[in-house]
Amino acid sequence: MSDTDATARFTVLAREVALPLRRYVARRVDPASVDDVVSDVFLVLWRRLSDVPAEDPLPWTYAVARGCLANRRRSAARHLRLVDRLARSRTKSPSPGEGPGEHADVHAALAGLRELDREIVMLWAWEGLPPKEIAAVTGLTANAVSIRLHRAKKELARRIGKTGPIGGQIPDEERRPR
Amino acid sequence: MNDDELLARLRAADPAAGTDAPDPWVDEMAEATMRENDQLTTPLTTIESGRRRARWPLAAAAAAVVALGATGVLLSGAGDEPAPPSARPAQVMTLGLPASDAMGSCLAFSVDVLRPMEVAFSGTATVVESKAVTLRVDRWYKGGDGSQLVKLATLDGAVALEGGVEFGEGRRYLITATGGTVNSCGYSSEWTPEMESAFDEAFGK
Repeated sequence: MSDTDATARFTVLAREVALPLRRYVARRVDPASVDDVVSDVFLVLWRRLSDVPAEDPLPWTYAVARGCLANRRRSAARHLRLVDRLARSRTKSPSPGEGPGEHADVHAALAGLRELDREIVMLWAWEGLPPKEIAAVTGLTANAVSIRLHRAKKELARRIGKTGPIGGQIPDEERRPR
Repeated sequence: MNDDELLARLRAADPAAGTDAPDPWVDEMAEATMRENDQLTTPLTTIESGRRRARWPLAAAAAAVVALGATGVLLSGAGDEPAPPSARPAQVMTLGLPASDAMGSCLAFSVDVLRPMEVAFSGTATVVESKAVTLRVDRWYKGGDGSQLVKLATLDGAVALEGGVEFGEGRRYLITATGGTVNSCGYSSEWTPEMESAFDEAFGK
């Protein structure tokens, strides 16, 4: 691949994966670190350009991002897990228009999953990937992903159902069956 | 709560929903990436001593070097990068973990005992389950069959080895096996520089 071809291909690739990649990273790292991680991933994509699948490069890109995040998590003590950060920030300073701790029960339930199960659930729900593509991101088989996803969904539903929609802050009358 | 309801709850709680960034940053970041790579790949010494080297742990660097070597891609400073996903499904070797009561006859540790072991590798635990642990191999010392993953499975015991060796996701281990069964008694352990030196001496660098 000539330098010009590589530059052109990388520019197209960057435009294709940038937004989903940015969202993937933003879901898993504190806001101040998002650009650094995306930049790390871009560098890997550029250096491994000939290995990036031409068709559907996103799972490959997510897998690289997952590796970059794991390295960052190990090396940066200041890194906070997304769910911990959200649980704290949403309790302390809810966004305008949100009730106090809105979705805190969902984030707390996610935080209660094992790390790999949480990643599988997030890839399913937020990145919208099917088990085969989740397998490509995590290095598991599609079958193992399906089994883990099934179990994790059951566990999540149980935990969310247990705590109620916003941690018990909805008035009792709204919980009664209509 | 059914799947659809759960999915709706999760999507409503998506912290990145509606966070589309303006387009220009993509091209700017892409150009900056290509420029930074030019600076990074020129002198190897820059990579070895530069800021990026310090940001990646040794295990990830070693894994990346193995992965890059396997695909025939050799870039200076490639050890910076996390192991990229493989395009092919990873081949898996399966070994048995010893039964928990099979610890009565340990030999004192020595390189001479280590040397005839049939299988030896270092790798990082990626999935720890109740009856098995999967390790991603970063170096085959002996007995490798091209597998990138090794699954250590137990029938009746715990996923652990005699001597307090427990498996945790993300932790790196040095493992030996004979006759398809992992050796305990100190001949498999969490990675340490001392144990790596013993492996180097037994199996050659």
